[in-house]
Amino acid sequence: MMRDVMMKTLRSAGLCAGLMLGLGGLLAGCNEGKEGDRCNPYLPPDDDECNSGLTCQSSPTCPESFCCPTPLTSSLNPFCNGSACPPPADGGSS
Amino acid sequence: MRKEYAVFFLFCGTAASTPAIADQAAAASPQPDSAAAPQPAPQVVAEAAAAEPFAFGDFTWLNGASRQHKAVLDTKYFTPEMLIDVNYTASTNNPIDDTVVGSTALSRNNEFTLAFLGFGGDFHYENTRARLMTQFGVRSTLVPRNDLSTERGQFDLQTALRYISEGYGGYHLDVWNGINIDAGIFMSYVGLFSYDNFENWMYLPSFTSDNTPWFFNGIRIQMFPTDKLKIEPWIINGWQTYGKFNTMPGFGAQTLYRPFEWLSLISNDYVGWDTQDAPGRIRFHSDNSIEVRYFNSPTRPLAQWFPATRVAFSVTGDIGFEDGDGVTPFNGSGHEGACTNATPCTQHFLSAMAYHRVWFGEKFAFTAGGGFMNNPGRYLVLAPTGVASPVPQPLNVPAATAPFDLSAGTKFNAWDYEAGIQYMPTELLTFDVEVNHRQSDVPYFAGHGGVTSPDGYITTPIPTGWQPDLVKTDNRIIFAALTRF
Repeated sequence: MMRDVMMKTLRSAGLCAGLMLGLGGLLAGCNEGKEGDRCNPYLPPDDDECNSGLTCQSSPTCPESFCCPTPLTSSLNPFCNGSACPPPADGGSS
Repeated sequence: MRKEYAVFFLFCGTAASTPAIADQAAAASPQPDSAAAPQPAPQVVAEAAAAEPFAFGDFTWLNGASRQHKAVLDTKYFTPEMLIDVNYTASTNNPIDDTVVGSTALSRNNEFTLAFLGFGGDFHYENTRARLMTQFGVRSTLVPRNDLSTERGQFDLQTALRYISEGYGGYHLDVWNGINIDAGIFMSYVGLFSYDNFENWMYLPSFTSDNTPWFFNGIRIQMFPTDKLKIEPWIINGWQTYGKFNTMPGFGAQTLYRPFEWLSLISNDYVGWDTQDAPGRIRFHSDNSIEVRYFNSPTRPLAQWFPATRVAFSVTGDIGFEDGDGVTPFNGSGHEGACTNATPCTQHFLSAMAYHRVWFGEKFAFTAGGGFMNNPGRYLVLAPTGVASPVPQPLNVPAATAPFDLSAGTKFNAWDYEAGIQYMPTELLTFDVEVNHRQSDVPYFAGHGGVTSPDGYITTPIPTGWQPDLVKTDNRIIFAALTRF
């Protein structure tokens, strides 16, 4: 009887663990490296965070660095081609 | 063991947020020489002290309460306690500065973090009582930074008090089922979840708990008219403040009612004046929770295919507002930068959260839940840190160049959901793993670029105009190991 309960408990725990891992898997992909994503400009080129074909660079108009193609003008992303910069850290008002 | 089914019902009332309920009951022990310890075993207590508050049942199932049945290190005059809380969390935003924005439980991404190391305990001799719980670890900076009352005057209250999470002394009166009068820093118990994460169903609570006070500094009187009811008025410096913003102190009370072992009702209510240079602005907050254990059968699980031995839920709702000196609770006609008494801006806090927990034996439990908050005026929004910090920076940290706006007239809405498993091999140890999604209607959480500098280090010069990377969503996984003696 106790053994049955133990086994069922372990099965349930396994199910829950599987569910958690599944949910964790959904979260696993990081939001970085795509064109227009923020990046660390101080990393060496071999350790660049950007996806293939992109490098970490700044447009002439923004102080922040983004994953962008070269030349910057070839990008349609506003943070790369310099048509926009990130908004101030406000969040907006009503 | 008997099988128990409780009846669901609705509970309406005001709301406020709170930590450790069992702790409250323990702190209220009417027998000073008995262990002011976590919930004692009900069978033992029934024989020894039937009138002790909340000792008629086993409340170790509650969210925000101790699940321990005894204090292993208890002595006649001193009941020692120690908590070690370590976490590891990772966000899909993967901020380059490893910094978490918008939490009082989590602080660093991708790093093992000693969140809380506390030791102390309860002193009890005849009718005199005292409690000390130290606070080392990141929470000693993470929580006090939200207290702007310390910017008033001298003597650096944050440095003086940050390493004390609880420190009070008091006296017990043998009146009714007990009255305790305590002075010092004590847990606020607003927001259902406990400040001591060992006592919670989940590690990272919803906004209703995370954005409401963890502690108060002042006087409390715990009154137990019966062994099922506690009424606890407070006179305190303010809303989770070491100091005081204006002339008046804050006033509040907690009402805790546990008519049955399977049911707990709690209400926390507060009135204070907590805005710098706005003595005419009053803050009201009310927090109400209900916790129901609707299935409890340790030896006969719920079903063959679903061997749950205990099932419970909690629901919490908060309503709060500020009124006066340019703000009004609802339907304000003003806008940011022009909040006047003639055209006041809307400033309130509405929130709710709900959790459902299933136990599989005594060692495993699965919890899922979530909540939301609506806080125009952002007076309870946790300030982002780094370059986005609207509050004073610690020593050696550059001044914020792009502070997040916490002014009257702003808006803020956020919601979250989460699920997690706890493995509790003993009553002294919990392993926790959970996933969490948070979302806001304005950029608020740390994005990949972080909030510190271009490479995430505070020593790196910040280019003129450089903006912190704030985003609207945060998805993360959390691991925690909590040990408490």
